[in-house]
Amino acid sequence: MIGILTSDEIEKLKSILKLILPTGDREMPEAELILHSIDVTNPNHTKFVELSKVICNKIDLIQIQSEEDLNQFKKANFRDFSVFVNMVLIIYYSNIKVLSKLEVGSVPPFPEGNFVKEGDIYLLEQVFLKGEIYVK
Amino acid sequence: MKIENPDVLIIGAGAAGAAAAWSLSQTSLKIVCLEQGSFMNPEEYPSTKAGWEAMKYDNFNVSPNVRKLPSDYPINDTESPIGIANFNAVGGSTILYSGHFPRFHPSDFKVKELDGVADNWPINYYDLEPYFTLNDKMMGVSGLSGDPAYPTIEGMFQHIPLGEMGEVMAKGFNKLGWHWWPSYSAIITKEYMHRGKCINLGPCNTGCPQGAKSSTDVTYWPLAVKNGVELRTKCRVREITVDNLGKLNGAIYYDEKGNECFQSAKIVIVACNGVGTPRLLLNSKSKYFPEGLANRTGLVGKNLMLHPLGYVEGLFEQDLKSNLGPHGCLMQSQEFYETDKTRGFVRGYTMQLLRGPGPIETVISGVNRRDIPLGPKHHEVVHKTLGRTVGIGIIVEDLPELHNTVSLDLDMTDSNGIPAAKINYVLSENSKKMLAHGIEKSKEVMMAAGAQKTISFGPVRNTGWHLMGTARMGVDPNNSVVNQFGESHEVEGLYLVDSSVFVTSGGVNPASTLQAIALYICDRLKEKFKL
Repeated sequence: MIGILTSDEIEKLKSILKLILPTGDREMPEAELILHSIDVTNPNHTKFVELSKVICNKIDLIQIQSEEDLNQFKKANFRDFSVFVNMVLIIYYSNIKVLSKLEVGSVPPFPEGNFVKEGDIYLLEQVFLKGEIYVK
Repeated sequence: MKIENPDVLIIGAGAAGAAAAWSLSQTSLKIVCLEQGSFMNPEEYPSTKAGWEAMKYDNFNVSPNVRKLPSDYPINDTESPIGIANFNAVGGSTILYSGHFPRFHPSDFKVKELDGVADNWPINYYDLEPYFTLNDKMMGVSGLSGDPAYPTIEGMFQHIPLGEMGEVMAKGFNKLGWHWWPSYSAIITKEYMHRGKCINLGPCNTGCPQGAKSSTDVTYWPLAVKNGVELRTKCRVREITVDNLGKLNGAIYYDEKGNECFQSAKIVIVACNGVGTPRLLLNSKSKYFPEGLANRTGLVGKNLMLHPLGYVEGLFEQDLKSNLGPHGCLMQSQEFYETDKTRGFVRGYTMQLLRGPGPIETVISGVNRRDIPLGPKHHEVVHKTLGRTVGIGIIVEDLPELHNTVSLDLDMTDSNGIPAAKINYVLSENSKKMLAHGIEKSKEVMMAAGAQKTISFGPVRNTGWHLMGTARMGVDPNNSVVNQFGESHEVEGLYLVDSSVFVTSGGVNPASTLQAIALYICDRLKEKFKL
């Protein structure tokens, strides 16, 4: 990661990510994990790095220490910040540790399928009894 | 083995081109198909990777203008509220489609007679019925017989499971006394023709590694190639050509290395969809056809229909596991499909039930709408959203209008210098009323099913998958481009087999119908040439 982002940029990003996606009661993985999984061959990751540099250029580290600070920054840099947040969410919710913790069924690369119950097909009784509804 | 002098040249290897190639491969004809994309490798589909959903924002985006792959051509859709969606590869847009596979209704072929609008088709549902059946068999379709919204449809695999979500929505429809039925799905629920069955992963719209989704690269193409069709990939056709007497004689294309090549053929079949087909015809100018091939009426590129799509999403308290199972294939309602003039519009729409999206789409749309906060409550709200949302896509029948067009954009070109397609499209008042009605009715059924809240909008921007009407079929050469057999009125041997020949758009996804039409036209061609 060093070389792609400077240590100053990394510190700034860590403080922002902690405020955007705190671990919380559900004990989700920390958002800074995305800084440890940057893959320069992945176009989304390179976009994230570019956007991170734009954001980091606009703030001092001491500026972003609280949610209030973040809101102020967001208001002043709405467009850049929104695009940056979208990219953070894309990378965070692509991470296998995050997906596993979400408990959303089988996780890619999907070694197993998902069980989906058949459902009660007799619910169709009243539809069936209505008779034809198409125009011949 | 390279075929030097084919009898038939097919342009485009998607839904229609594949069906046509297979159908004609049953004869002694020598057939070449040119496709600008290449074969997909299912092992590389996004859903084999943890970052599958992120790839929807990049190489597997629905818009060619975002993907910008070598196989793509740009489409200027800035003058349309609906962005064009497609995919260019062997299999075409079936690689990314949801597999929702309903047929047109009998009434869709005679809207002039029934409702006094647009035109009747020169063929009807029952002409196509054997081809619907054949196509279902070739593609592999799941569903349930007995639907009161259709004439009898049989021979399908067991329908896709409804799950908790389906039961909840079914009860909502029943409470209102409205029609619903399990989806007709081009997804197999049983192993078939060396293809794996659906295992309910969900991300059908980024390609199916199991081969359970019936994209034509795994259905028609293996058989057509086995039967001797030569499929040349990474070959982009620039123009269809005529000889010194104005008779059709082949096409000029660019191969993978950018070399300009000529391929002769006695019969040319165009299957490039409702945007690609008029683009190619309009770019095929000659002294005999100065306005583009088969365009003396000026109708090539006119009457574009796109199916404006409304969207309603309901959030439920209980975990419906809605993110599991094929995203676009659950159930549909055609309660409001046929005309009822008391509604204030003619024709109608389908409500297509959509399973909940994956984590990225859920979170990004939630954050952008401010339903999901950033900060301390983020993960808790995500937990209470994911798997608990249900979508309804409202597929509105738009009627043909001359001012909705595909033309050539001479200021924008693809990587071979061929002009891009330009879209000019506006929604009619009839479509707007229908869209508003569909959104209100979808909200009503969401609340009847127990949704805590709903959000809605339409027309949805990047949903222009259904590209129809731009080279319509008809008996009268003065108001149609091809005859009732799919052959150009003006150019003998030129056939169009895709959804560009549609006279009207119906209110359902068009893939099943356009493939049935391709098979129908190929049988007429066989009859004409006594094959």
